[in-house]
Amino acid sequence: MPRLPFGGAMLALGAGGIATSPAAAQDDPRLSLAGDASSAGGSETTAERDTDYGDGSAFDTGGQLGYALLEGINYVAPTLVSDIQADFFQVAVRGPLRFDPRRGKLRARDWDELGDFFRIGQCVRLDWSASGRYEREHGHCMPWDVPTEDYYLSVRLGPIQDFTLGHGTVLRSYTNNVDPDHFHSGVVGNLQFHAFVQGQFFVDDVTRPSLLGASLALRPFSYASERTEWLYEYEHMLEIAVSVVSDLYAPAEVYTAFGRPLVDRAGNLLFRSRGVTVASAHLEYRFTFGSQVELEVRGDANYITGHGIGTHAQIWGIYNHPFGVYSVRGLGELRVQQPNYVPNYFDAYYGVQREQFTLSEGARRQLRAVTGGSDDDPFKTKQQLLEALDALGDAWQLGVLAGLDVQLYRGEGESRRTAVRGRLFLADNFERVADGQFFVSLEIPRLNDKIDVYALYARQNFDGLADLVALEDSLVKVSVRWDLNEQFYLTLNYGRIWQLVRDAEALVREGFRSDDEIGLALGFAEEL
Amino acid sequence: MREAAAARARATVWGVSLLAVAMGCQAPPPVPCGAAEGAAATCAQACGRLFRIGCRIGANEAECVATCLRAAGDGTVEDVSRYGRVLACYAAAADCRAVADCSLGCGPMGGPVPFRILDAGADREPMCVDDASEPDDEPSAARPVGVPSRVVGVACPADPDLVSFGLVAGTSYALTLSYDAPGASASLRVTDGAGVEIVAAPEGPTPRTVSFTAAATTTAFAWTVSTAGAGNYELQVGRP
Repeated sequence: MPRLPFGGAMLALGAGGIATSPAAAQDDPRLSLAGDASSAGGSETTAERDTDYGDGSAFDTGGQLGYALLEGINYVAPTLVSDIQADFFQVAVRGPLRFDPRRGKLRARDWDELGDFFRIGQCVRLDWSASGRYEREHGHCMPWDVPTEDYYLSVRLGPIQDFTLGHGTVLRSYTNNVDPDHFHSGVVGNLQFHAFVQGQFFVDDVTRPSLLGASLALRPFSYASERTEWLYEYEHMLEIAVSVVSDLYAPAEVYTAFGRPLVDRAGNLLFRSRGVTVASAHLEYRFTFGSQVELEVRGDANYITGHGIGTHAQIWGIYNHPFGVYSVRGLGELRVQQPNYVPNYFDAYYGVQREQFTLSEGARRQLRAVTGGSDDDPFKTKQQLLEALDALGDAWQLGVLAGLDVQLYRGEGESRRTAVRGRLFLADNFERVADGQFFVSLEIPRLNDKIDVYALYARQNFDGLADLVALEDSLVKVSVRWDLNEQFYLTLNYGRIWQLVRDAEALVREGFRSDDEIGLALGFAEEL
Repeated sequence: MREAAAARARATVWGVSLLAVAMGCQAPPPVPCGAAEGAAATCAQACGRLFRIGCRIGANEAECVATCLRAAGDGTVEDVSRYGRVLACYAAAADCRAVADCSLGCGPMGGPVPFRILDAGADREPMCVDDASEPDDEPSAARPVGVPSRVVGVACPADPDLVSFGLVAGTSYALTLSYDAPGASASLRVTDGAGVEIVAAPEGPTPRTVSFTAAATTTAFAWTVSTAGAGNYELQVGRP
């Protein structure tokens, strides 16, 4: 009776994104167990997805023709599409082009540096397990569903989206493609050695690796005898984990000449770099009250090396519907941290804020509060903020986070799977100006077996709830795929993205600018 | 590893300095300028080099030159007397890091170049990069100096810089304040430890000079305040 550790995983959509759900599942390994627990009174359930057992090879090919809008320019967007599977190797090949009919040429910035050519391999993956289920790869980069008793190693190359490591107190909802001018193909891996060991690792960019990290979790009591396995798996569980995330070449300070920031030929900001590393130790204990109610207590102790220490105490309350219709998880987190500790240092905005922390007025207010109002430099890096925090003393400060994670399921027994998943986090640190964090995501995989939806909204550096929802200065991603029939499908992609301004004078004033990216396409794919 | 350590040290010079200085930390060592005193180059030479080594300002060299002229001159002609050395440094830079080092080390007195740092052009007040003695805005944070002595620093508008020195009753003293920024206007005054003014030179073009004879043996504070223009200053504390 296989239990699928990632069974509750969502489908992350679009040509773009190593699916975040494995991370979410790793962050929350009991997502699948929630389903299991709910079925304690009946048959064991799994969250099955569209999978094929032992399907050795497959080859789909086709294309998309669409429209794209970026920087106010309308593009015709043809894309070659091919999905190949050969045993443990799969690749989703895409040739995404943006053609400007007015100028009669392709958008140059899509193909002007080495990393851009990795757009072709939206998901290149290797997966090994004894009894894993192959996913028909369409660029989603999902991990396989693998029974808990099995081993599993998955390495996936592609853009990273909404990736969370461990409990998320160090790295949460990380996205490596916030600026559409610079494509970054990262690597995400999952490791499972039965129920005893769970691991994750990632690298932000294979052409210029800088941010990398790993997490390793041990569940000592899960290696129990067959007689006690049920007890440990379903009534209580202890997990001990460590994780390290390091930005080896984190921007320390932007290079300037004539008082202006310097960029390279492809428009990347140039900066002095100095590594930032965060090490973390986790402890987690879960107890199940009957078949429906669970309580989890987690403790994370994190250290930004050379800077501050922060601790995160989390309590998760979980309610599973008795018939497995839904699962609701509520989170409360208390942070006790030094002034020079930044929780979730590597967050959804990190891909941009590592280079320019002061993206928004809120971020500028935060920096001014730290430096006593003496700093209006728009090009302060996140590391410079961290260094400024060092001067604020050693007094411990408090912070809180509240979260909600709701999953609805459909189907029963072996065909049971997630229908909708919504996640929400809201965080604030006391005694700090403009450092509120808000994150919400919605994932609807295979609605009516035709439609996939993924939406993400992240906002940071705000003070009050009135500033919680605004398009400006926020990070937004919406992807929809609608299968019209077996061959034709529609895709819709919207992103509120950040781009480095090209004009020298405007660059000085703004740095990165928030903008819209829209894509709409009709696709065709045929299995050969 | 050595290079990484050196890079870290260099980064500390500028990246940390503004913040560290604001927090009262030890000033980092200066970045050496890659061009000799008196060296000069044109904006076109500097921008040509920048684009050749792959660090750019603007979409092309012409845009870079225009930026250079705005930043290092009056918009049409470079101020070679002030910026020639850093332009020469840019024009000889081997890589982008060296370019950034030029910006940090080729200014007056071996410090940062007083470009209108990260300003938005002529319609915005230039941002002032203060010196390593900050904070020295009040008597409790004043920089103690001997008599005679020569004090150099960066003047930011409306940001007083204080030095303290000992007075001996019956002894005469003279203080002279000079700015290098054209059109700079400043005031200079001396108070005793209780804040009572001993002598003052009101706001006006530099140099500003005051002289007085101490009535008591005490500690005095010299207040230098730039009222217009940012730049480097020199304060001479001595006897007439």
